[in-house]
Amino acid sequence: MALVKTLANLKSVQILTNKLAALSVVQQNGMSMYPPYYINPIFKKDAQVELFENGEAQKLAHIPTKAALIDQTCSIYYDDDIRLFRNYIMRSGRKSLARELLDKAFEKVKRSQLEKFHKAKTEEDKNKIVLDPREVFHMAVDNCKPVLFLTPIKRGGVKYQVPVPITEKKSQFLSMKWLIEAATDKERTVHFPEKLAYELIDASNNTGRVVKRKQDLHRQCEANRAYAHYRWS
Amino acid sequence: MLKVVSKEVLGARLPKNIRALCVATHSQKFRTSEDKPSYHSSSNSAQYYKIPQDIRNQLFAHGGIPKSYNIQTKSFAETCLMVREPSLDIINCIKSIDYSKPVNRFVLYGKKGSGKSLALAHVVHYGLETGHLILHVPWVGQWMRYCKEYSNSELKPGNVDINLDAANWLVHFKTQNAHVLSNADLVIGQDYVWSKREKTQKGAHILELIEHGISRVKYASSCVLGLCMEIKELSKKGKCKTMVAIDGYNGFFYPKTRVYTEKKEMVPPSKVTVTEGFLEVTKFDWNNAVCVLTVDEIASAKEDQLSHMPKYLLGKEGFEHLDPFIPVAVNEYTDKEFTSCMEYYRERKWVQPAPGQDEELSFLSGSNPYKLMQICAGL
Amino acid sequence: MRTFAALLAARGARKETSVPYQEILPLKLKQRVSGKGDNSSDVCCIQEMSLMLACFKLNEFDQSLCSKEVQNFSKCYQGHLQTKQKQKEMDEKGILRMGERNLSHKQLNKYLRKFPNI
Repeated sequence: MALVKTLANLKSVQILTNKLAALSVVQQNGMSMYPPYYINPIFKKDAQVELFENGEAQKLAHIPTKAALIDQTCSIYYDDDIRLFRNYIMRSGRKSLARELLDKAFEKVKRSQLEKFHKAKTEEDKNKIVLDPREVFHMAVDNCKPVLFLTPIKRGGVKYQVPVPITEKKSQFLSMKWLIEAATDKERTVHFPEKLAYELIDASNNTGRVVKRKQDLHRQCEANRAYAHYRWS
Repeated sequence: MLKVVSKEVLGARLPKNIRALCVATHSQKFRTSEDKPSYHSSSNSAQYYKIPQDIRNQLFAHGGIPKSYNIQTKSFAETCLMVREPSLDIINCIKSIDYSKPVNRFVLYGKKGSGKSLALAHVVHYGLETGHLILHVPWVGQWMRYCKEYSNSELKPGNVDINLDAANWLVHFKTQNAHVLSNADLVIGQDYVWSKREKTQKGAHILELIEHGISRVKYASSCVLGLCMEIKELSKKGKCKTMVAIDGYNGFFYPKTRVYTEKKEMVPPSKVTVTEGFLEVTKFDWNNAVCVLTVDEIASAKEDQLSHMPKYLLGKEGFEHLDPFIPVAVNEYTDKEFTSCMEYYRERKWVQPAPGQDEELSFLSGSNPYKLMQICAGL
Repeated sequence: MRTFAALLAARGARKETSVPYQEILPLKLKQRVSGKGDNSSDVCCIQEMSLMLACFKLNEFDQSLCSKEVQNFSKCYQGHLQTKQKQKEMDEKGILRMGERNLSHKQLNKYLRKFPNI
C-alpha cells in the first residue's frame, strides 16, 4: 500500500518537474503579472463564434485566461495594427490624447480624399480614390515597410554596415515609426494630425518623405551589398 | 437584401418606367427633393432636404450654421438639413398663427448637440421662403463671451458698445433680408441724431440706418438698437411680417460676460447696448411677428452648465421676460432619424458600409447627433 | 658557475624514470561535448538579396517593379527563419533520430549518456 502511494507521489512529482521544464523552455514571461500557463484572451466576436461552432470553446473554458487589454474591444472598428500605431504615437501614457490625435488625422485624411473625390470629373478617377482612412493607413504602412536594413558588424577592428534581411515585425515597426517621425518633424504652426494625415496620404500613393527614407535605406544597402556575407558567423 | 427583394417583386408586376421610379424613391428614402420648408410635412420627417446654394449664401454666409456642421457641408459638397419634428412643429404652428394677435414665442431647448441650431436654421429658411423680415442672431455667445472689441457708449452713458460685432451683424442682416429691404414702405419713424453733423432723418428708408451703422462702426451698436425698435414699429403698423430667430438667447440673461468697461469691470448683459434691442423684440407687446429662440448650455460658462432646461438657463428674470412661451424640446435621434442619418452618411461616402455598424454607432453616440458626427469623423 | 652546471645537466640524456608521470586528469575522453563550436553561420539568401538589389538599382529603387524579387527574397528568409526555429525546437527537445549525420551538441550528449565510451 505504502509502496503504491510513494510510486504515485513519485509520478506526480515527475509530471510536475516535466511540466516546469517544458515551461521554462517555451518562454520566460519577464515582467508579466500572469504565470506563463495563462493563455491570451479571445476578444473578437467572430473569433468567439467560431470557437463555439467548432467546439474549441469547451476546451478553453477551464484554462486560465489573461484579461483583455483596455483597448482590445469587440468593436467592428477594432484593428490590431491601428491599435499598435496608436500606442506608438502615445507619449508618457496619455492614451486618450493619442486616440484623439489619430482620429483627427483619419478625419483629415477622409476630408481631403473626399474633396479630391468631388473634384474628380470622370467615374474612373473617382474609383481610384481610396476614401476609407483605415485603408489609406494600411496602404501607407505597407508602402513604407523596408525589406532590408543595415546593422553594424565589427570585423578586424573595423565596423561595417552590413545589409541584413528584416523580420516582418521589425519592418512594420520601422515603417510606423518613420511615419510618426515624419509627422512630428514640422513647423510649430502645423498640428500633428494634419501633418500625419498628409504623410499617410502621400505614403499611400507611394510618394513622400517616408517612402523616400525607405528607398534611401535600400540605396545604402545596395552600396554595402559587398559586405552581405559578413553576417553573424 | 430588402432592396433586392423589392426590386424583384416590383419587376414582376409593374411596368418599367414606374418600376424605375419606385426603385429610385425606395433607395432615396432618406432624402426628399422638396427644398421648400413650407411644403415639408410629417411624411418628410427624418428626411434630408438640400438648401440651394444661392439661398445658403443669402441666409448663412455670415453664420447661422454651427461651425462643425459648416465644415461637414464643405466635405459633403452640399448643404443638407434633416427635417425633424421640432422644426416641423414650429413651422406648422407658424402657418396657422393669427398675426394680428400678440407675438408667439417658441423656445427650442435640448441637450448639447441635439440639433437646436439646425432646427432654427430650418425655421429661418421657412421664414425666408414666406417673405418674413428675418431678425436672426446666429449666436449670442459670440457677443457676450467672444466679442471682438468693446468701448463705452457715447450715446447711452453707462452702457458698453460692442461695435465690431454689431457692424458684422448689420451686414448679416442686410444680406439675409435683401428680398424684403427693397420694399419702399420700410421707413424710419423717428429722427436719429448721432452727432452734431450726422443724423438720420425721419422718413428715410431703413436701409440708410443700416448703411450708417456699417460705414460708421462707432455707432453700430446704437444702430442695431434703433433698427430693432423701428422693425417693431413697422410690424405693428403692418408694413412687414417679422421673424425673430435668436440662437443662444439665454446669453442675454447670463450675468457673467467677457465684456468689460474701461476700468476692467465685468459688464452684465443688460448694460450691453445691443441687448436692449433684442429684449424689446422678444416681448409680447407687438404683433405681425413670431419669435423662435433657442436656449443653450454653451452660451454660459462651463461651471454653470448644469441643466439644459429653459427655466434654469433663462433664470428668473429671463423666464419672466418670456413668460408665456411655447417650449419645444429637441431630442436625440429617434431610430428612424438615426438610420436616415447613417444612410445619408453612407451615400455621401462619409462612412464606409459595414455590417453591424448602425447598432454599434447608435450605442456609442447615444443617438446624439453631434456625438454621432464626431464618432463617424474618424471612421 | 651554476649556469654552466645547468647547461651540462641539460645536455645529458634523461632517464625516463627521473621524471615520473603524473596523471592530473583521467586519461580518457569526457562523456560530454560542449556547445561552443556549434554556432553555424547565419548567412542566408545572399543570392536572392543580390538579385533584388540589382533589380532595385535597375528600377531606381521603385519597389513595385521588383515585386517578384522582393517576394522571392522574403520567402527565402521566412523559410530560413522557419528551419532555424524548427532546428532550435528540436535541439531544445534533443530528440534523436536514426541515421542523422549533423548532430547538435545536445543530441551528442544524449548519445554519449546512453552509450558512454570506455
